[in-house]
Amino acid sequence: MTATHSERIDSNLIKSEEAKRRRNWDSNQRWRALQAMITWADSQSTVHRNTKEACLAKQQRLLAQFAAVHHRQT
Amino acid sequence: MNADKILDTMNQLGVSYLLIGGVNFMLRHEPILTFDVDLWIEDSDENRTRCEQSLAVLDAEWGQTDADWGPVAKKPAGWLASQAVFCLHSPAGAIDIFRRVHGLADWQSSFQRSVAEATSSGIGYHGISDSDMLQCQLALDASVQKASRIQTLQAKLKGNP
Repeated sequence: MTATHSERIDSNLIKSEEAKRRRNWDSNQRWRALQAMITWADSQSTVHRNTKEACLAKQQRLLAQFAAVHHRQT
Repeated sequence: MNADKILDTMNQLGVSYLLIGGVNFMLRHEPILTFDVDLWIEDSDENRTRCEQSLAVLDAEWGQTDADWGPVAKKPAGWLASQAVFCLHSPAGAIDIFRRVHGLADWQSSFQRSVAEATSSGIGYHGISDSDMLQCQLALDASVQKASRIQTLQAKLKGNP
C-alpha cells in the first residue's frame, strides 16, 4: 500500500503534534501520567483479552508457532 | 493515566467517538504498553463542539504552536476544525484526537463494524473492529507498523487464534 500525499502530510502532522506535546508537558506530570497508565492497564483484569476464550486462543496461537518452528528444524 | 475518566467524560457529553490505537488493542487482545488514548471522532460541527466541551472538562491543553499552548477551555469555539490530528495532554493522561484515520474510509462505516465493550470499571466504549485495526496498521509506513499487533489480528481474523 503506497502512502498518498495527504497521508504523508498527516503522518508528519502526527509527529510534529507529538513533539509539541512533549515540549509543553511538565516532565513530572508526564512521568506521573505514565505511572498512572501502567496502574490503569494493570487494573484491566476483566476485559476481553483476559477471558478464558482469549487465553486459550492465545495459547493455541503460540503452540502453532512452536509446532511450525519444530517442523522447520526437523 | 485514567483512561476511564477520559472515556466517561466523552460518554457523558455525548461525543460520537471510536477508540482506536493501543488502548483499544490492549483492552481487547494483549497487554501492551501505550501512553495515550486515541479517539477517532465523528467529524461534524456538532460533534466537534461536544468534543471541545469534553476536552475542556478534562482540563486538556493544546496549542497551534508552542507559543499559544494552554488550556483548551480558553480556545475560541471551533478550534478542533483547524487540522486533522491533535495531540493533547490532560491530568487524566495524553489524548490524541483524530478527525480522519489512514486506511479507513469513513467513520460511520467503521462505527457499524465497531465493538461495544467496557473497561474493568464498567465504562462503556465503542472500539474499532479487528479488521479495521488491521487496516490501520497495514496503511502505516512499514517502518512504523507494529508486527506483533498485525500478527495477532491476522490470526484472530483467520479464525486461527
